Amino acid sequence: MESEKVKSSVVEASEFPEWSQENDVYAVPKVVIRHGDKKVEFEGAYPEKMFIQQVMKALEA
Amino acid sequence: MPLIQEKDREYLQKLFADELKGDVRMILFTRLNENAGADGEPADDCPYCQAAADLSKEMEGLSDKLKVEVHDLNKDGTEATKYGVDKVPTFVIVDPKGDDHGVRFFGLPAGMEFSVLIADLMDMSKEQTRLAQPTKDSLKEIDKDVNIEVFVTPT
Repeated sequence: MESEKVKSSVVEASEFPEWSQENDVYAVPKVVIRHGDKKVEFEGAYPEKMFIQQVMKALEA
Repeated sequence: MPLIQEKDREYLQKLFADELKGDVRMILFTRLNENAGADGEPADDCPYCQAAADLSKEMEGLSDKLKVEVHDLNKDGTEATKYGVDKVPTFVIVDPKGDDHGVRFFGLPAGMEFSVLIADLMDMSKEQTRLAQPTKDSLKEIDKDVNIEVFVTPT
């Protein structure tokens, strides 16, 4: 909502096993941040500041 | 038995009365097979769609400002194409202006995840998030498309 460029989804992993498998979801919450072919991922609930750092990492050239 | 218990219903009605500002649209996409389990019919390929549809129906009466729509992909795929939805059940939350900000909930929001959906509805209705200012500033600077997926399980 704060950026037109950012889209965000919550996925019930147990209902979408294939989607979860493709993203190596072994523990939840699992966050996958995608920019083009680039992917940054982490497990666990990060504090907001660390979360945004991961988003920015995905956007680094 | 309803999915939302009476005491939760009262709580949500009060919460929405206080917290919803503009009309917020919650659009659910399902793929229901009404004849599932009947003679010669395959089992429903979307086991959570009926529950998601029931939940949406129960949520409809919680506030005049919450506009609930349900579209079944087996009947009409027009809206699904518009919102780029190809999985079910999927909840799309749209702001009072009708703008789609790419907020999606895939699957039945059960347990604690239901409160995530409720929080999304309140934020979207107010057209503002509860993020810290530095986070908002960082997000404003983003000039390339980014997609965040958070995988959860019902707790």
